[in-house]
Amino acid sequence: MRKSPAILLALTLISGLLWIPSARGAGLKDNIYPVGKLKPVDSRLKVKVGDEAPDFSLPSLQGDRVTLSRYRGKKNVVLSFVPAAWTPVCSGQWPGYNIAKEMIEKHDAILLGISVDNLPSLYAWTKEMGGLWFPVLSDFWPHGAVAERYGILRSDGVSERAVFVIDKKGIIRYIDVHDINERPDLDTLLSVLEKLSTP
Amino acid sequence: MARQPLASRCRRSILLAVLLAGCAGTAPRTVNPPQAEAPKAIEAGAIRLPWPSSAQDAAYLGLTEPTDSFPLDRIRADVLVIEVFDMYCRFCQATAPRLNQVYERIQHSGFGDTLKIIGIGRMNTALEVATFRGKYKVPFPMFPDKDLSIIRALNAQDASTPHFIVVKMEEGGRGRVVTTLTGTFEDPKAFYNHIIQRSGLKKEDNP
Repeated sequence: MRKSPAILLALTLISGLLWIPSARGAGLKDNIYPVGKLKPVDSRLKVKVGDEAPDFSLPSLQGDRVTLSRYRGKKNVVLSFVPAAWTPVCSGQWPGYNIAKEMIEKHDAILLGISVDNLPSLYAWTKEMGGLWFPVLSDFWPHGAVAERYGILRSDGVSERAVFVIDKKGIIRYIDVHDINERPDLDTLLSVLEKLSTP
Repeated sequence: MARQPLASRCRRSILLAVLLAGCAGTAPRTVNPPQAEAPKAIEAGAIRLPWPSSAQDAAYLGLTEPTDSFPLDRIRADVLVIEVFDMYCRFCQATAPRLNQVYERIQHSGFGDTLKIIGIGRMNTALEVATFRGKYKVPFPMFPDKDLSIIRALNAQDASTPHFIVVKMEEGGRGRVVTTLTGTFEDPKAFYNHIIQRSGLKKEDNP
């Protein structure tokens, strides 16, 4: 059946007027791989508060390798391990740290984000977040070696959702191996940093 | 049937197209479509928020006699826009400056006393809400909802953020939800117009 030019033109204009941008708030949700409810913790810690933090050197999204010990004597360090790119909770954790930059830096601290994903995956994922101010490190190869050294590599090959705070002497001052299904709140982290920076 | 001349058919086509397109122009173009569910009511009198963090916020909401918490229906407004947001949500972050512009537009349009905006921080602590608000200099009150009790009462626990609920306040502590929107928006003016249109506010509603 032939369509009248009027109908075709009208449909074109209507579709233009009714054009609704992709549901970007919901769109991110659509891109997230559902993992369901997971075992809260599935590893055994190999370090404890008061230990010297195991050193590591990992490739970063920013292009250079980042070595933990280079911050010794200079900065307090927050290690934020997240289990995997494009998964729930993780995708809503680092964007929050993105707007807490001043609050973290005011305690003379640097945040390092770490995941067992490879750099290309981390690139696409963090780009979707709109970019991040802190270094994002890939613990992809040897797979999860740093997570394993800290004792937070889960049996399925991803890391725990964990936060370590390391002082300027390289000593671990705080460990939170969090329930993987939940996001740690900012309050606790800032409270730990506050204590570290208070003489 | 004899075909009409091409020029005549083109003129008719353009006229019909403009007419049909004009009909379609009332739909919101820059926000995601309202959710399919029918408008519903909320028991505004039964939904309690923590007392605002500043006297300025309390004044904006028309609240006096401070208590630990207050019911939603105590807010002095004919229409209330509730933004469910999350400090950790990147789309809420992107939306914040635009929603600030909507707020400014409301103030300058003369609806400032009848149309109010509040934010509810989904699973956010007071510190997280304050961080978000400070970062984006949000001028309207925002409240933490760490345990989701407020958002559940609004039946918005499953919605992605940002999520907007526009409520027309009614007698007896009830509120009628006139539209809900999910996702960010690009054009503050279009968003504002949509709120005004759906809530039925008219210039004579201005005090």
